Amino acid sequence: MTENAVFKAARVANAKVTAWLPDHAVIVENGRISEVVSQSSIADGITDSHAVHELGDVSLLPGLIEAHAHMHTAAGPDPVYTQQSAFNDSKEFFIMRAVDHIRTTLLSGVTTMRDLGGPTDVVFPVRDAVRAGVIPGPRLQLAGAPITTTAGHCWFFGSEADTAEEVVRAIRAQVKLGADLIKIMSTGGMFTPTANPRSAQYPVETLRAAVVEAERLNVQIVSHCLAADGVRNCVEAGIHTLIHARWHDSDFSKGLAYDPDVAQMAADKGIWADPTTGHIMVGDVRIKAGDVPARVPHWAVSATTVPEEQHDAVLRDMRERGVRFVTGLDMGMTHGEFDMSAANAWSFVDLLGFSNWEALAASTIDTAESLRLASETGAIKAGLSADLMAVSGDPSNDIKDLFDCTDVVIEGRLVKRDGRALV
Amino acid sequence: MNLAAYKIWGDAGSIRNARKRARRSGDPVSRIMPPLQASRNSHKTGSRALTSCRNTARCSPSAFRKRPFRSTRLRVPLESARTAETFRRPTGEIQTTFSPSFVQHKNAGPQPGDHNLPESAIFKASRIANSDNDGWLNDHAVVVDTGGRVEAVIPSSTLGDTSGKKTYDLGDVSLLPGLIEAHSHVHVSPDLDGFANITTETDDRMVMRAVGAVRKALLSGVTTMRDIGSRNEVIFPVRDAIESGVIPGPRLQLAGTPITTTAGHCWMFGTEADTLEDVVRVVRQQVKLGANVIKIMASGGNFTPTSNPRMTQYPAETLRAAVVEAERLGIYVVAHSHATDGIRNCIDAGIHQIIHCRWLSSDPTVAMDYDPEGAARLAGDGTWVDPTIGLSVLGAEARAAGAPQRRLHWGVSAARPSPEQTIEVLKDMRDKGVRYTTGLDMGMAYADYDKSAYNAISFVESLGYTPWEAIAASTSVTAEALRVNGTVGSLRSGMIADMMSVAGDPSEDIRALASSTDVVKGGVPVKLEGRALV
Repeated sequence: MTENAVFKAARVANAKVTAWLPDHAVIVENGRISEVVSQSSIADGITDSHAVHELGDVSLLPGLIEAHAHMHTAAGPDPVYTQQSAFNDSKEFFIMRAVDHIRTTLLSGVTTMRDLGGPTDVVFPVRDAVRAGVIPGPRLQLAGAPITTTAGHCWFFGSEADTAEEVVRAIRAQVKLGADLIKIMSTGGMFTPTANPRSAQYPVETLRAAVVEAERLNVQIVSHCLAADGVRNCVEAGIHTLIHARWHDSDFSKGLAYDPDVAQMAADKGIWADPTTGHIMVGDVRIKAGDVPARVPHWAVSATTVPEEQHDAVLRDMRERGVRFVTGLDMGMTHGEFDMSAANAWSFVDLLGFSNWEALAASTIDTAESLRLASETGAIKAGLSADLMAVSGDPSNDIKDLFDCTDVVIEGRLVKRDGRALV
Repeated sequence: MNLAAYKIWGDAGSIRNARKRARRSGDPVSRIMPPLQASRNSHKTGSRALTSCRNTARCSPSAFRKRPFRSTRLRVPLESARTAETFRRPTGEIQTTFSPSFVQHKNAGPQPGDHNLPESAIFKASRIANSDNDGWLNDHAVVVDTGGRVEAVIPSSTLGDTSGKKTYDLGDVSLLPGLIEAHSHVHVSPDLDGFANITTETDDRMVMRAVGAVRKALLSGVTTMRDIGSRNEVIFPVRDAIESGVIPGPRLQLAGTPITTTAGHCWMFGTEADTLEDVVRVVRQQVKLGANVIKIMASGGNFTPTSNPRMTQYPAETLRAAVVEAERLGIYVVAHSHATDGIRNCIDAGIHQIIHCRWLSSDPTVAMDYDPEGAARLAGDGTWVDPTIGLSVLGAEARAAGAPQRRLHWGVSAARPSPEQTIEVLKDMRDKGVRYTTGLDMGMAYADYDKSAYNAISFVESLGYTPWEAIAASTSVTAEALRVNGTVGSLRSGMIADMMSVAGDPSEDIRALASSTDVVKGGVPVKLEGRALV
């Protein structure tokens, strides 16, 4: 369906996303990248067979990969509204929000988005509509309803399962409905007043059963964990990605209970982490500016609030031990607006000590690898899907330039050109 | 706040919410959620607090449930957003069901703090339509107050001190009231697959189509849109979502499902009612769900192969009962009719507006059976007609560009009125004094949701309107037909600041109306210099 095309740009990211290729062009055929060449080597006659797009003085990158979204929830600076609407809104509202949100995300340069939890009667029909071309959106990888305990974290859009047998059955049910991966809540979370983020929701045996079942059905399994006990259970069970990876002590009066040995084990097992630092950083900047309501901590952590710097120090240590990070914003939560995926890379540079190129690679090729999509997307090289985004500045100099998305191409189709949406 | 004015859709909304609450009454959420202690605008001062409470006995569920719904995307205090409008109908004082919603769809960038309440604003343009929509005010400015209403339209040179007001200099554009589209079906795909889609797709899929459709319409400059036939399950939630700031879209006036006979025109998204009693009951049901207008199918239609466009679907008595019931409940009735006999029934019944009005003969071998006396009665009764002639222009242009012909309905294939015949009749009706609304029939093949300007284009090119007459038809005149001319349709003090601008001068070339550069809804720009902000 897509026409063959050439996208010329002053700076094109190389195949490993480590440096620019100056004045290069990406040649796209049948929606896939066929060649990346110097502009000077392109024959004039190519205009007969290809549409040539001169993107100009922009930085052309692989489309961003957002590893953590909740497409149905209302992001914004107001935690009350976000939480209340997630509890109370109708399915139709969730669908309409989701349609609007994924379009916004696509137009911000994200061409692949992983949804880590939403109502099954919302996220699966939305993905079907994107695939059918009815609505615009990024390539979607879906967890469906997250698996949680009764009254556990995100129970109001989750699949409640308390025993190992129930968890296994819940995994099978999500796969049957069309889940591409499984999300399981190994601890409570800040979004759910009836859950305790300092405590484990499942014993390691249950998580292990979940991992075995997910692997049997050839889907990934990722787990939300805010407590040291939960992280330990996940790592021992062999969960594939730790979401948040926060190490709260189970004792209300204590801060973190970071265990470097567990972190080392995670690194050795090749377990990924999604630190979700982007939306926290955005929130901090806004709150510091005095313009939005301050955060109100969950009851379980309000007695001993851990400064964000402590979490960042732990995350940096985890990274030094070899744990690799994916760029998941936690879109849909407070301060996790759907056009803010670039905040992932921003926070990786500013908080976690990534170089700009490391952060750009994390946002693209690394996260593609973690999502098992490395042979499909995440880099500008021959054979991959033509998923591209351009920004007007040079994010290898200033990572915040990643917010200034001018052009977006998904599967060879131009959906945003020179800042104007085409869909 | 005028609760009586808010009544009709407000009550329907409460009923829906009550049902939702009832469904959830078994849920533990209302018992265990903490009370939310915050005033509506306390986030301005940063004092909002989500007070956690582990003691469920102390957490009043009603405190949680009664908290007013508020979107972070609303740019004005809830009180103003929910204030409904009052206007006077020709037949006496009736409250409207039309509520302005000042929706700002948030498009957050990396920098914080872009969610302030609206400032008063000034929109400067080199040409602004005067309040009668029949001439330009050159180098004027529309001053908008914090409630999203027009405070004044004055020469830019007399603005004086503009500090404290956000000023948008729109430049060399023609600034008009936002267009009013009188006829859409937002859940349909505007292509030749429309029928296949409508008969096979789920409500969910239609909701998703509708989200794209209302966005497209808004960004093309349509700020008020009347949908006269979409599934109830689709269209009422869409309006709720627009009014709550969840998605961007025009102000919607809705019929919900059209009323039709079993297997009758648009049965696949209509409510079937065959007897007079059934029709009255369905009118009531639609009002309960939140309809502001009733659509009834007085004849069959081309979209529906199991109906006959040349024949009536209801006797005049049944249509009359629908009119009486609708008027009793404070709303009005529009009727689809292609057939001369259907039009006659509508006239006898006192239907408020006739859609299409094509005067097809009941004899399949005779194309038309135009009745000039009937047309004179329409004019005398003040019955509006939506000629849906823009759709014909779009169809002709699409076919000239190589698009396939829509398959002819069996009922009209033997003797089809020529386009010239149709135009001649519509011109004669206008000469007799019948007034036309700008309804495109959006959602039918080729009538995409950003094509509302083709109403005015066709009025000029086919029906002999002057450009200013066509601009007025698309704005203040259709606002009058929709009974919202007290709030929208012209730019003068007190009106809601719904505006659209185009680069050229549509009073010279009406086709300039087709490419909007800026769109403002309720004083808040949703498109500037061709770029969508939502």
